[in-house]
Amino acid sequence: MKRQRKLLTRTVAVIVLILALISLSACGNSNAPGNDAAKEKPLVIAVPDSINLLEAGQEGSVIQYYIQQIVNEGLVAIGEDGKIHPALAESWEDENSTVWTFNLRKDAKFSDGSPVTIDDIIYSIERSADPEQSPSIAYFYPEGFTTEKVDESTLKITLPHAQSNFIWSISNNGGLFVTKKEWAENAEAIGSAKDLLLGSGPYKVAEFSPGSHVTLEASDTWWGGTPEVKQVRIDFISDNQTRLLAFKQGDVDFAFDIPISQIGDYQSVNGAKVQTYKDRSYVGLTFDLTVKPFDNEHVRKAVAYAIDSQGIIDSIKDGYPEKATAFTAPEQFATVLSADDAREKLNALTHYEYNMEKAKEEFALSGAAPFSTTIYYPDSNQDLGKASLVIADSLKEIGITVDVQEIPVEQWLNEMGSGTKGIDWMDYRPPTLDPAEIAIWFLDTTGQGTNPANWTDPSVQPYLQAVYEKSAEEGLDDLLKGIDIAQEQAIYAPIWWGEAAVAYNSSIEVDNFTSYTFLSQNWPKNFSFTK
Amino acid sequence: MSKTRFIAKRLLECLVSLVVMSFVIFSLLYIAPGDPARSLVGAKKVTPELLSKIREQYHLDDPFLTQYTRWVHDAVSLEFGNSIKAGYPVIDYIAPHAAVTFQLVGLSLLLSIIIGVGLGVVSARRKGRLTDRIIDISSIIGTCSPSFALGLVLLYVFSYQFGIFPMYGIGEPGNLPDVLWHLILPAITLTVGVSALLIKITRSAMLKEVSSDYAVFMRARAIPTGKIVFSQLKNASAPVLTSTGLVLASLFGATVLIENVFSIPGLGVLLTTSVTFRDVPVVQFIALMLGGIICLTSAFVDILVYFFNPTIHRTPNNDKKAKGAS
Repeated sequence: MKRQRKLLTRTVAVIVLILALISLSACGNSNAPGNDAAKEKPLVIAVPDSINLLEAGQEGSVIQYYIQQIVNEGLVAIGEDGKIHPALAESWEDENSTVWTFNLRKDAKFSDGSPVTIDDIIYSIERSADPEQSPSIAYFYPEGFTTEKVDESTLKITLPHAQSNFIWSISNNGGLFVTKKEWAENAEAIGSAKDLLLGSGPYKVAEFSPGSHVTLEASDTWWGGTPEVKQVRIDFISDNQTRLLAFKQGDVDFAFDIPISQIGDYQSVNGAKVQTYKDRSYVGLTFDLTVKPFDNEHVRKAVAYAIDSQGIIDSIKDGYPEKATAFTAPEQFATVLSADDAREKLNALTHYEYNMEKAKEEFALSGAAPFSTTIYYPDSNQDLGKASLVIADSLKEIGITVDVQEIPVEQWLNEMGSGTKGIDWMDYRPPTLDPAEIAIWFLDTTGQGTNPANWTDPSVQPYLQAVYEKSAEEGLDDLLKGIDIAQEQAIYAPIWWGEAAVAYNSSIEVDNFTSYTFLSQNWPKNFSFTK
Repeated sequence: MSKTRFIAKRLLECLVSLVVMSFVIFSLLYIAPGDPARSLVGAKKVTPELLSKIREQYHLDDPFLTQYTRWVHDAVSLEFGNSIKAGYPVIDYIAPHAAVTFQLVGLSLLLSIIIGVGLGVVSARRKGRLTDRIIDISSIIGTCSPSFALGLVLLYVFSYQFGIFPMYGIGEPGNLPDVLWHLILPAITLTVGVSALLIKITRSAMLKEVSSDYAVFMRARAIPTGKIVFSQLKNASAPVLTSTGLVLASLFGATVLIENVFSIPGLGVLLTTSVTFRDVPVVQFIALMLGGIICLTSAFVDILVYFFNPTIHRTPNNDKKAKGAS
């Protein structure tokens, strides 16, 4: 008996010893050289995503953009006001939106101290436009564009056709992250833990642990001066419960994009503040005109009338997002209009308010017999599944039986606009602040597959052409007219404009967080420590 | 069967398993819906030409057999290609994740063996008594506990309430003690289920030895209990050792959920995202690597057991042949 106890005691002792050794060694290293936390407290931001590569050109995830925003500059950048500001180009001009001339900044330096040359910029543009090297951003560059080195500080880009929104393409919100040519040519995998990013922005990457976190340090070579927030650490915490516990514990200063359902939990943390913001995303249905009976305008209108957008928002999104009246959110117009003015203009466009009587009338006018269809939703967004069930319930009343099915997000992406689904979800968060970003896709009726609805009406093309040729301000009416034509024909059925939430604890203050905050030139300056 | 032949046979079985596995996984990924090129560019306006260039880069439009034979040809020369998602060599892409998972699984395996075998021995020696019942009930609870739920509970109690362990992540890369410190709670979570399995196997194997004649004889001769237990454990070790492959497979399988709960950038999470993305080179490499480890470990243990007791793998036919020869 005694010996058995002794055996058990020894086993327990061995376990305790192992744990103690590890904990002691861990404690002993908490202030080891290289642990900068002891020197200066970093701003810790927790994001609900995980990345294994820092470069946005490959995958183009939102988090990669937020990181590159402050590490690699483009020719232009976005300010906190959502407007375009100079970055590596001090000024620029364009001839008919076709020939773009940029006067480059002479005092720009990479974080390793070397100057940014025009050759580095041309190399970076070519790299960004190459689908093999930058599959996710190459689409920003039209086929056949050319770059020309006029002199050491003047760059000319000639496009094959007018494109007034090209300015977004050469911003680091769109498709340009300038890096050092010599370094990039010798790097094996840009943006990996082996070859961290090298840029001329306000921050440099100090350390990157793929899938875990990235630490950014203020660069003392930025032309805008050394940033006040010296260190930013972005932790990737995918599990919502874990992120909440880390926030409660004080391990995290700022939690980005918290679930709406957890707002109360975050608010209950002592001193914590929760802020919601319009994230410029658009969620709605797309009707594929190559799938019968959705080629019938009355069928599309019947479905559009039968969607109780506000009811869906209230029941599955706790009333947070705004009911959409168009496929572009008001905040997307920041460069040309205030959100309120944009909202007013968008609300004035043709849209279909929930009305079951009108839905029945339109269905009767269509002459279509009661039919069955399927709504597929991506597994990455369960809210769309719930919304699909609500829509299915309404459509049953007008004689349309809807089967709701979940599919992997990759399949959903692949089948978008493929002519196989009569009704499909669209969930889009524009990376740039170009007011026409969604419209130039949705309204491109030049051929099959050019827009997600396979819509081929040529009457909208003159308006889209005007959007390309005119400046954002001058082309605004054309843009709105184009959207109106699409909505009048019920090609797209907008449901909500996204709203997201962030939470921050009492150790920091945040200046008016908006959907532009993480897109701006030196976004950490919006954060300050209170203690 | 000679020892050399036995080893060759076991290793050949391993090789065949890996080849079959690689073919099955490649086939399943080929027929799975989705297009990695489209996943890369996301929901954006892209031209068919751009998509076509990306597909061409990764040979995604080639017929199935062409793709598979190219992969096998490259794999034989240890060229595993580039990750479609990350765009750089698979080995460099996977290495940091593999290091984390191996540390986690290694730590958990160590804890599982200590706890599982230790409690299994105690349970067998105290058969029918209160200690045995407590251990038995505990192991049933351990087997039934969903690892992700258990992880959250442990996280809440030990990290949030008591602040003993770190909440998430893997600490400072390159600082092994710090990394291990971050991995303790996830390792304990993994250990609970696996050690329960080991308790059952050890207990079952030990019960035969506890009541065997030699054990009674040793006790009658007043040989110290430690020595008796050691002898019993040595004789009962075959089923425990041969279950190592199963234990390793359980550990690697369970890491997917655990890594997510504790925000650990290991192979489990990487494998899940790579499967849904159809990042074939990454999935193939991870599956083969894990399959290889499990196969080789099982083979190694079998060979070890065979060396200690060659009669274990003797079939009736072999016995007859052996008798005929003598």
